[in-house]
Amino acid sequence: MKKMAYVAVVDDDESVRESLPDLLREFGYEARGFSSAEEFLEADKVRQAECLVLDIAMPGMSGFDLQRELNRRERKVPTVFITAHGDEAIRLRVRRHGAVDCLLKPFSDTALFEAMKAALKQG
Amino acid sequence: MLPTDDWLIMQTEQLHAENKRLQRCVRDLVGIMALPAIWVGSGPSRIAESLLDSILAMLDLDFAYLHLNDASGNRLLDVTRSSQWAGTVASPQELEATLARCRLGRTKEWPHRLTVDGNDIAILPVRLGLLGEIGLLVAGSRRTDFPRQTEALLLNVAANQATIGLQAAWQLSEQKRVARELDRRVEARTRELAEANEELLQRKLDFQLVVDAIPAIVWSSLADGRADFVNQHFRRYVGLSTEEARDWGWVGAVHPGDVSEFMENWRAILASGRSGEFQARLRRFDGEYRWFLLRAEPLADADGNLKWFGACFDMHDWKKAQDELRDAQAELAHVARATTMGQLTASIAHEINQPLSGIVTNASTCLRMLSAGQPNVTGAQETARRMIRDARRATEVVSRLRSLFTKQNTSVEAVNLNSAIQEIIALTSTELQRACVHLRLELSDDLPPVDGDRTQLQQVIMNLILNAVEAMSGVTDHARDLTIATERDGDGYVRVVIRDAGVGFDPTASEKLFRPFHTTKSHGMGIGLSVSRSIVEHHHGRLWAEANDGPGATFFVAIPSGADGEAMARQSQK
Ligand SMILES: Nc1ncnc2c1ncn2[C@@H]1O[C@H](COP(=O)(O)OP(=O)(O)OP(=O)(O)O)[C@@H](O)[C@H]1O
Ligand SMILES: [Mg+2]
Repeated sequence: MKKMAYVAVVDDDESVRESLPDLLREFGYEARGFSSAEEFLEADKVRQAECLVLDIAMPGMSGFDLQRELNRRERKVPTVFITAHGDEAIRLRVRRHGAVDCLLKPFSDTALFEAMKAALKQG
Repeated sequence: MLPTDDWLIMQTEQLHAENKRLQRCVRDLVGIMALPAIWVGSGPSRIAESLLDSILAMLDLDFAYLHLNDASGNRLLDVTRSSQWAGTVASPQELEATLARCRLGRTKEWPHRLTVDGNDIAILPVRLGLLGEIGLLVAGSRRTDFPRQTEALLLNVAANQATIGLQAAWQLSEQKRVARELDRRVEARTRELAEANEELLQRKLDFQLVVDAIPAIVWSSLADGRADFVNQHFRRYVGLSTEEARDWGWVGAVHPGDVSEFMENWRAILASGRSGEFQARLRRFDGEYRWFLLRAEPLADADGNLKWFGACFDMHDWKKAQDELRDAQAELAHVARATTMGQLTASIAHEINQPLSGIVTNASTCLRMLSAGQPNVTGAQETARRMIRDARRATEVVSRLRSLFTKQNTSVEAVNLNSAIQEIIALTSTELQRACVHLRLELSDDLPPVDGDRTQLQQVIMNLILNAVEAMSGVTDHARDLTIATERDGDGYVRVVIRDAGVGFDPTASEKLFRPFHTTKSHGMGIGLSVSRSIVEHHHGRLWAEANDGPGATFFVAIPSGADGEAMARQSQK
């Protein structure tokens, strides 16, 4: 059997953090939710995620901070950003900075699925 | 005169308390609205207990009693719940016996009070079902102010919800009974057949019977897509016979607007030879179209011949909920465009997008769990619970938004509407002149004052005048006449009538104008009328619109006059 990709979801909002991993599991991935960038970094030492779904605005380290930190450690993880603040301008900016995609909350399951496929192809 | 600090603090506290009370009522309502979702799959006694527990806690009752009939009108069960206090003066059996004696009479003839062990208890009976055929709910409390208006409202809503839940439970048990009956027949039939003919034939018939009994729409088709079998549920749902549905006949049940896309999707799946799914509206036997998710799976038999098996899932309610979410979002996006409010709305949008996101994701997960080969019902229930929680969160944001727009400091004084109007005219006269509007005033000279907040009432009149001016801004073929009149209407109300000669509106859709965020203007927010109506209703009055016979529209504001004894009494009661 093919090994399932392991996806990490980092979002301080509980609704999103609970629901997204469930949906990803329905898609056939392995998934886990983290409530902050710091928590994710701790866990990543133990088991490395193959793909990252990352909220932009979080208390403490923001999603952008986390991506910079991972780059500094030369740890390349394909990243899909998600945000509830967004408009199209943010989306373009995020993509120019090397993220796979940026989804505006609320997004459809197909949009998420497409983004995951693109991300895992890149990784 | 300047208000003192104490006075301000007192006002603020009163507002807080009022706010709390409203929030609690809204929360209770939302809680009650969510009950049927929690009851899905529960039996009548579970529903009865959960209903009584909820209202006992919510309304701080001393006891709540529910009598239920079964589908054929016979007594099914009685349940009683008591507060700690009530538990000490009477046992549930005693209460039940007292109430059961009354139950035989009609609700109209019910007593309003009961004496239990020397204590005076106010009671409120509420029928379940139009004629009480489902049952009877009775709430009781020692409180002298019971039942308050909001409590009666909540109880009625709760009774309605229970009726819905119980009807669903009946249906469920009926379905189970039918399924059991079917099971029994399938069994009997299988036994008969086993005796007569053992091999091939039996397997085929068995399959057909089982598939017929499945409570889902199931079909199979040949490799080229022509249907060769539809199950009983399918035939009943669309109202076609096996013969009519055969080959391409069943496509007749697809919504005409969806047929070409439907065929395109179906052909693509056939050509791919792999499983696939798509959405389409199907016609029910009574002509109503509902959205379905159609899923098809290919299966090769021993000889390598391909056949298709499929099922259709009713996703109508889910889809509608999603459309409504999209509309709600569009409304918010629209608000965000109004630049003055941009800052505020961006943060509201953020607050509401979080729970919406949870809802959309949970809904997708839920649908997937249910439509899998082996439906994951427990998982789906959990996601549904989260949807309710998130929806509640979104509702709270919306009610905060609403109170932001309507709850300013209110003060009550006797307001002379004539002079209030004249002040507004003075403020807007330049605007009126610039817009070439010809104003006619028909102010009654024996107008009684109304009790209310002068500034708020002026805000209402200002909104109506500006709307009228805007409605006439494109008028070139006749005079831009604006009439503002005041009058008494004989029922103890004072009326302000604002009649313009503008573009008017579709007379069948006059209520639409008052919806929040409804606007036809590129720079409009669409909240003028909605806020105005809240203000007028806060004054126990009415605000409505009528299309003119000629061009334009007329808006009416009716407020109970302060001099009217009855209206005064009504106000002081609040
Ligand atoms: N006098 C009128 N004649 C015709 N249509 C009207 C009139 N008043 C209101 N409407 C219609 O009702 C809609 C809602 O009115 P409302 O005042 O609530 O919002 P708005 O004027 O569009 O925006 P806002 O008042 O927030 O600036 C208007 O956009 C307009 O289509
Ligand atoms: Mg307006």
